[in-house]
Amino acid sequence: MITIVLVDDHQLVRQGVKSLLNLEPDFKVIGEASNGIDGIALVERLHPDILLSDLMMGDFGGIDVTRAVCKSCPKTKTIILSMYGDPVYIKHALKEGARGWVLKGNSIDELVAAIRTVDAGECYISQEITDQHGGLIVGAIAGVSAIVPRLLP
Amino acid sequence: MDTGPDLKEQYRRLEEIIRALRNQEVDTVIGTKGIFMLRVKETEDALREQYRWLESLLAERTKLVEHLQAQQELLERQGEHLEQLVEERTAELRRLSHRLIDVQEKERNLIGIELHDQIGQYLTYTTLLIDQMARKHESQELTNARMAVQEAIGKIRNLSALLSPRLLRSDGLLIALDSFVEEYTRNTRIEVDFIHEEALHDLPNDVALACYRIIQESFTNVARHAKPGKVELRLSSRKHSVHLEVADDGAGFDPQRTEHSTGLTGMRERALALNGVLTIETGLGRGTRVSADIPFTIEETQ
Repeated sequence: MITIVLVDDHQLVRQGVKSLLNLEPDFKVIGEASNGIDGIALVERLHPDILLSDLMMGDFGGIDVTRAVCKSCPKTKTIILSMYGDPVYIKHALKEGARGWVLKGNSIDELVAAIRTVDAGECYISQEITDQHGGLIVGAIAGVSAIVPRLLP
Repeated sequence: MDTGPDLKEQYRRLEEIIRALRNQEVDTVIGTKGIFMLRVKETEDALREQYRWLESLLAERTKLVEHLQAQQELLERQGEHLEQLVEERTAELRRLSHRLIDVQEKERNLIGIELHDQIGQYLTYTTLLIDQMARKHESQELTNARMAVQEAIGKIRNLSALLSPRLLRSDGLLIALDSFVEEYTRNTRIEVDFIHEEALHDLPNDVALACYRIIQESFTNVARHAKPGKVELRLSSRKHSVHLEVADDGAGFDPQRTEHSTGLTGMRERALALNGVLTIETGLGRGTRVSADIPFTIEETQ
């Protein structure tokens, strides 16, 4: 069973993601929060396998959450789920210890694949992003992360 | 014009008498001694009169000169006043222009964030719903719907980045431009040479934003009109100013015929609003070079 916590300030997005992820027989969304601070507290209490966090959430965003969770719950692996796909943000997040980046609007299948990949100890970046930025981004990201993201064939 | 008393006539008469004396015309001399004395007296009077006349003339001229000087001073003062007025008006216009740009940026920012943080999220939710339906029953319609919504999300992402450059605020001008240039080349297939220092001096937000917008506008113009082989972007900063340059080897244009281009005016306004200068060098078939220098002061922070 892969346990998941969702952090996103948009209730509708949380609701949609949650109901789809729960369709996977071995996934369970065990908690959700609408801001970064509550999200960290929830992760520290529930110790999920995966934290799925939005990027832009007011003053305390996904990168801050990643940094905090990486410190207090190193076993929980963070994936950012965001509208943004700028390599600069991705690099920031990976530097703080995030293991994956999926774009909002990507299919749920891709999100499921990302969760499985990251849970297995690898790094995952949305295919749309690697398509756009080519192998360059992987090289740039490899510079800040010990785990090189897996590219889909 | 008044020429004064007729001195010539007096001299002529005196000279006549002197000539008579030289010629030893004794009779004439003796006979004319009385007349001679009379003539001397007359000449003396005429000279005095002439002198008085000259004095009055001088006084008159002096008065005229003084009057003219006063007029000139008045004109100079009025000139200075006008110059000051023009300066004040120019400064006021600049302030207004600055405020207008400010208001415009705030609006853009708001729309960008709204698009991204609201509309974008509803669309995200919509794709999730489509995915959910597809799990139950996949169909061509659902696939098309998903593609359309994903297209819309991509457009919103680009539009939002254009309106509200968040990266500029969070990571500064160089990184925002790096990202902008990469995106630009990807969309237009125009190669960009971005030449800059390792790091820029700390730029105030409004200066960084002005640079970003001027560069953005220049690049849009290049893609629209120039059809260049490549574009060169240069950026350098000193302690109190930043210099930027966008140069292409494309079509160029006739600098006399740019009345229609509000883009160029907008770029100039942005530089002017921050007391900077923007110059455009171009000619048909000669490429275009936009350069700007914008001064700034850094508030010392402890």
